[in-house]
Amino acid sequence: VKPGINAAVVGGIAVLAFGIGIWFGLQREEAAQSKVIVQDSVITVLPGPKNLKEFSLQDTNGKPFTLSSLANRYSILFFGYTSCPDVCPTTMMVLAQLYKSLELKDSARDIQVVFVSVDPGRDDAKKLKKYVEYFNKSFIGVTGQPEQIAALAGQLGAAYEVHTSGKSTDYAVDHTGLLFVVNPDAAFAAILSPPHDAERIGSRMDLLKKLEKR
Amino acid sequence: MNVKIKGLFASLPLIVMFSGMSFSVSAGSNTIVVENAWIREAPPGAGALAGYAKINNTSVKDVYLQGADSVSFGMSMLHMTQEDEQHKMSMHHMASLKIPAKSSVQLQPGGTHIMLMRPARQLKAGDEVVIMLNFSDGITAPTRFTVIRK
Repeated sequence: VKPGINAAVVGGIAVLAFGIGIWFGLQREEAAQSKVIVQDSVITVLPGPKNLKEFSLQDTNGKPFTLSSLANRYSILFFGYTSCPDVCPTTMMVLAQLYKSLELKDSARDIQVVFVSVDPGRDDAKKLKKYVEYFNKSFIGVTGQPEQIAALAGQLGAAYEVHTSGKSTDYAVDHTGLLFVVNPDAAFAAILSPPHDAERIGSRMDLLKKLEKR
Repeated sequence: MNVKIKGLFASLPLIVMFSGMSFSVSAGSNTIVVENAWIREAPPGAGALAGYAKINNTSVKDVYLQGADSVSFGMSMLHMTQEDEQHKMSMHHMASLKIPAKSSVQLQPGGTHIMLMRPARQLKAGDEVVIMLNFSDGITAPTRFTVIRK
């Protein structure tokens, strides 16, 4: 891995840490003004949806995945990596359960699940495609250059850190366990906190839709 | 693996029992019973899996899980997923996990687990693999883990 890539990741984290700080600051400010903020152990709805800036990633079919890819339906984004033994498959199985229940209710088209690999060094498009489709054929896997990933992650406050060591392919990646919800206007609307549960996420997504009058 | 089991039998007065999903190994006053040992089925090509189980120590002495190994994986390690206040998840190698006397410890998703790297073959739900769980006092428990899709 090039030093430049590490620098980009570290820079990304710094931006994220700053972003998280601002976000928590905003939350407190809003609370002080007695505005309605929906927050429980599962979901935190942002005081106002935050419009996202353009970003440029690629999906597993080699097509661009950009801001417009998030429009017209809710998106649940998870930032992980395919060599992750515990947190990622556990989270993706929960999302697979959620999606199965949505399919049964015929409302799956309202929500897309996006797995963003923060480990482009090991996760190429082919590997990522097999990985996400194992959980559900409709799930979307995306990745890109480290700075492209940081450009989206930074806007959501999705922290991650890739611990590469020399040429070894056995390395760990720290990453957030949060799920990020983007609304059909491609605006960042809510955060889902772990431990995740399909039924609880489903009920909070319904709640979010009602709050947003969709 | 066979060599290790033979060596174990030769060096310790062991009673080994298989009983459904649980497995126990006794050496003197130490008795460890491992229940519901499972591995989450991984997507095709995934190079890292995790094993979970409930480990009961029915003896009056604390024991320590110190590691694991298996011919079915390139590397097996005792790991713990830690979550910080911002929900950032990180994995840490554990040199030892205490199983207190007359108590049990659950290895579970999002917590302590056996990280299993580089599977020798693609594992499917229903497959079983043996992982040697290495405890203090030279106790090795060959444990049958079932691959489950859940």
